[in-house]
Amino acid sequence: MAKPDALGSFEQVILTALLVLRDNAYGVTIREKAEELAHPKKVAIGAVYVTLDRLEEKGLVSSWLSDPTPERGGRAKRCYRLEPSGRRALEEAAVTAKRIWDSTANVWGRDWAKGGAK
Amino acid sequence: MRTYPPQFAEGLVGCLLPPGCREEILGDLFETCRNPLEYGVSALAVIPRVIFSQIRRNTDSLIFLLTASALAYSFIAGSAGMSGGLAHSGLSHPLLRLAIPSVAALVSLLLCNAFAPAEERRLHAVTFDIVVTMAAAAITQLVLLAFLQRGLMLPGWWPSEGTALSWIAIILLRAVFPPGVKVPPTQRSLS
Repeated sequence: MAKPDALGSFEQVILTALLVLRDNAYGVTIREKAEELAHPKKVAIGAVYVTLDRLEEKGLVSSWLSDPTPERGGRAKRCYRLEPSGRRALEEAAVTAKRIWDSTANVWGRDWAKGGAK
Repeated sequence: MRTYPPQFAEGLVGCLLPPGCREEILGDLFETCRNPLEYGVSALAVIPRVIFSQIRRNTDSLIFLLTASALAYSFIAGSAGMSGGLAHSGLSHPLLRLAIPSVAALVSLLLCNAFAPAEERRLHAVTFDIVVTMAAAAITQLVLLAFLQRGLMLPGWWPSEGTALSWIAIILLRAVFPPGVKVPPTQRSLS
């Protein structure tokens, strides 16, 4: 198993999408949520698959195939969920992001913090 | 009204996707299909990335290095019989002549890794990989011949004892350390 070292920014986006989506996390919904989180950047579905694969190899997420459904042409979904190690890694990333946010807000002022990054 | 992807396009995309992720990606592409053109564009964007991802997942770097060395040696040994060996034959681009079939064979082996089924591999799968690899190397020579690039062909190549030993080494490497999905510990505990 690869060492679950520091998360890349896109890995953080994908893990956050899994955290939010809970039981409804599969390729299509993860891509939609990731695009929402990464706005205004576009998210390619191929990048989502590759990142999920890498996160699974690191042991941060796990996956299983659901039952086939007619709206998918009789094909199964690969559903994903956060593993405890993934949750911890995301927590660490979120704490770091919070520190960065607080520090930049201190320098750039309260108005910037309210409006958020444009 | 719901738009469905054309059946032939789905069949083609299904063939190009590695079996380890075929089911879910075909389903995702089906679900998000709005028109046939968009389906094709999405599929084209996804296929190379997932093939690369499966190669990375199914290939052990040490085994890959050993296989690459054995492959290169098989071509060196094969060309050694001719006029004191390729390096001393006075022919132009000796390294390039060796590299072309070796790289083609390696790329085809990597693709075999990407398309390795998730279940345990048997001897017939290893044999199939070797046949594909040899065919890829042979095709490079045929293509060079067809385009009159004889200056880049491996001349007088003929299987020698060294070649046979190298290929046996490659077969053993793939049989003992088969490419396949490395099941992460989390998935093992789930099952």
